Amino acid sequence: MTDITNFLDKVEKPARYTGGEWGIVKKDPARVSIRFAFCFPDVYEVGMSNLGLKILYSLINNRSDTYCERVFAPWADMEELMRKNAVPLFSLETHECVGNFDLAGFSLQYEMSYTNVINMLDLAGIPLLSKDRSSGPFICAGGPCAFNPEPLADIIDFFVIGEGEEVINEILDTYAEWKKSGNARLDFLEQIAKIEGVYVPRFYDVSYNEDGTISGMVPNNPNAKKTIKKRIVKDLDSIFYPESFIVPYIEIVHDRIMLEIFRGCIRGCRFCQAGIIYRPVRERSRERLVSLAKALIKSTGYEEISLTSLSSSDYSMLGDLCENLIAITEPHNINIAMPSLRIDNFTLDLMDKIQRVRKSTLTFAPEAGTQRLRDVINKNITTEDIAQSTRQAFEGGYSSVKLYFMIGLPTETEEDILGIPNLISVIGDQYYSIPKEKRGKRFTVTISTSCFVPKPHTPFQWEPQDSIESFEGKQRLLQQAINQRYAKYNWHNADISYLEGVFARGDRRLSSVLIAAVKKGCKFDSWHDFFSMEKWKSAFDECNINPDFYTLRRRAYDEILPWDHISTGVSKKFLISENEKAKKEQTTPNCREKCSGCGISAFKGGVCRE
Amino acid sequence: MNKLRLVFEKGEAARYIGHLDVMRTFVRALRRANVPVKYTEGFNPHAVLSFALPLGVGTTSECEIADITLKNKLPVSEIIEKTNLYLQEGSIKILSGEYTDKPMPVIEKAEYIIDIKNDGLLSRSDIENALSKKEILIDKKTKRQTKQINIAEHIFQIRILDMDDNRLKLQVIVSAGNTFNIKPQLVVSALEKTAHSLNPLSIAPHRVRFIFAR
Repeated sequence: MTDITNFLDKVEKPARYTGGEWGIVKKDPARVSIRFAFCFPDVYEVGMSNLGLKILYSLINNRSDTYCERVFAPWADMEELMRKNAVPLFSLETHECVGNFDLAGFSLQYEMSYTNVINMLDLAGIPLLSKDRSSGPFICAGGPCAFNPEPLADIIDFFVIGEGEEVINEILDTYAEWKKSGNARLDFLEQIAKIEGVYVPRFYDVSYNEDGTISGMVPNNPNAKKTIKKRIVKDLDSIFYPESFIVPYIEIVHDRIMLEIFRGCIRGCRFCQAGIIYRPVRERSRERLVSLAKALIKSTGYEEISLTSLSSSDYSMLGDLCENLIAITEPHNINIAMPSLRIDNFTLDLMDKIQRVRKSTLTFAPEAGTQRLRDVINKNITTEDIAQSTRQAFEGGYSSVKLYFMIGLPTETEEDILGIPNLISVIGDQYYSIPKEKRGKRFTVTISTSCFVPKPHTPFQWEPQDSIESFEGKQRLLQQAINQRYAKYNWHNADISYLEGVFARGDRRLSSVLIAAVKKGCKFDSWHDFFSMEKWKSAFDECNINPDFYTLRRRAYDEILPWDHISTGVSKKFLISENEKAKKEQTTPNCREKCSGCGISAFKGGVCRE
Repeated sequence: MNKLRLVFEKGEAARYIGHLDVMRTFVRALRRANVPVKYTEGFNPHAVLSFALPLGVGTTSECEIADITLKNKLPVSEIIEKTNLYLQEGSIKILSGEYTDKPMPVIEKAEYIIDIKNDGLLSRSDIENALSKKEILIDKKTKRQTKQINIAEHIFQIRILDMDDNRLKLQVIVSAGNTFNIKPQLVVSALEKTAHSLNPLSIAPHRVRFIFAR
């Protein structure tokens, strides 16, 4: 057990490290046979907001033979004290060193957290490379980034592809058997390599062509599958969902009850990885959601409940669901929040009904400035939609609008970029056409642009990413072109998006770059506090790797991609046809309008059976 | 009026949470316990709840005061028993309560016991000398500015309760209240200025009682 009491007076937000919150699971470590460290490679407030953590923490702790504890990345002030005093990385529940656990599982939510994964292993005193570990915990990882596990292939012992709650018990059962057997470490990895959805990178040999592309990826162990198929939950009603959450003392990013209403998205935006990897759309029934809401309100005491999904308006009985929920929440003064809504007449009325707190800001994500480019990315929202719904919203008292765009999308031209200020003017016209006494005051439109990062398993996985210079040029163009006095323009750091692009579509040669970057002090790369492009550049140089290879290059359809052995269930044929349709500016109907034959129906679940 | 005045403790498990965290924890525990707390009217209803004096991060207490207003009167013992069930052991615990119409009493002073772990050997004469100073100038931060004050004028009592080679336990009574408040940590910083053997590794203050204005 580690003792950090002497550090707590000296660090920012000490409650990040003390644990003991309402809702934690207490077990006697001596009375379990498996200790599982759920590691989230970011600070407490971010990690505690993750739904996957909440689900797996409860699910794993339902096993009497296993104790699942939480581990987060210490902020730099704490890390410094820990290193100075040789205090290893510890869990919040028992303050046990991570090195003493049986398994440590990392949640990979974004590429820019990879350095934190490595830094956490280092802080735990665990050898960074999988091949160097002969004792101590097995290191596993899951989450959306595991769909291209290759950049962490040398570091992680095994990956879980797909939805963790579907497979974690099989892994733990196998571990329990293995531990009893007293067999070698390799034996455990061979056992789990047979489980569908589990990927053991060391069981595959990768060879390369002279131009640096992959020439082959072949299993070198008889237990390794040629293709690793993702695991999904078929029926969200019968699968486990926690009826209590840990309620942190300090405010976290999403400090509320999260009620997951469905998984997946019917829309098929061509840039969106979540839209592919979470296919098919599977809904939770209204009855189940109402009963979960009741239990969670009772157990947590939270003052807000948020309906989470990729696109809440696509829940088939949203109006009815909200009516049922209001009946429970109103007597307790609990607010209902609905992020990810498509704004239209129906949802505006609905928001009036459910939100007791008047929200003054409406958010739209047109993603692109012109209809042409929105057709390219299959983002089904028109200028008329936006005009009509903002007008209705302004009439209803709203006076500020937030717009999200991406720059650097495939086929983008200057005209598409300049479509962004045009769209702002359309919204401005709507506001000013309403008589002064009938509209709200302090009209603002906030525009944010992110830099497009082509993601694996999407129709755009073969596309080149814009260079940093090109991104910055487009940002400058927008800074000049957005001149409406009511408009405010924010943009993302292009350097970070570039690196995200490298690791999103990277191969296993990048493991060495990540380790080199960590040795130079790279960590919390998505936080601007520590980000240093200079350190990254020298890490790539040291490893003799040109990062442009991963971002600026157009890949051929027949190139072997580093993630080709990982299957989302969506066929490559479908992704190619979507990419071709994008070039022709043709849209694809959503899953409920018409099945486009993406291949996911083989899973026989959700929307494919409706 | 259904105003209930509660006295509660903030224990070791909650030492490092701040005042706003304590308030949130309180409201959520009351909701878990199904205590019929009254909410304000208006767009953003919140529980009718007020605290006598914020307690800082790093300090525990056995004398905190909070007023809550209820929709309907329930027996005090029932509320305390129910709510405590929904608070993590060792964190926050309601000790007593009574229905009252009186306004929140005005706090003038507070008594703390400060437990200090020291880096290196402590010298008794060194500490005693520091305690006897009539003037120790120290920077006190307020919301707007940093002001230099003579902290000795705001220390009404200070004595060594217990000490050994590297542990020091002090008892102090200092100015407290919503207009002028001396944090126990500031007293220790002031002592450090003159007592050279004092190099705290950790400072663990505990609020024992309030002294009210008459």
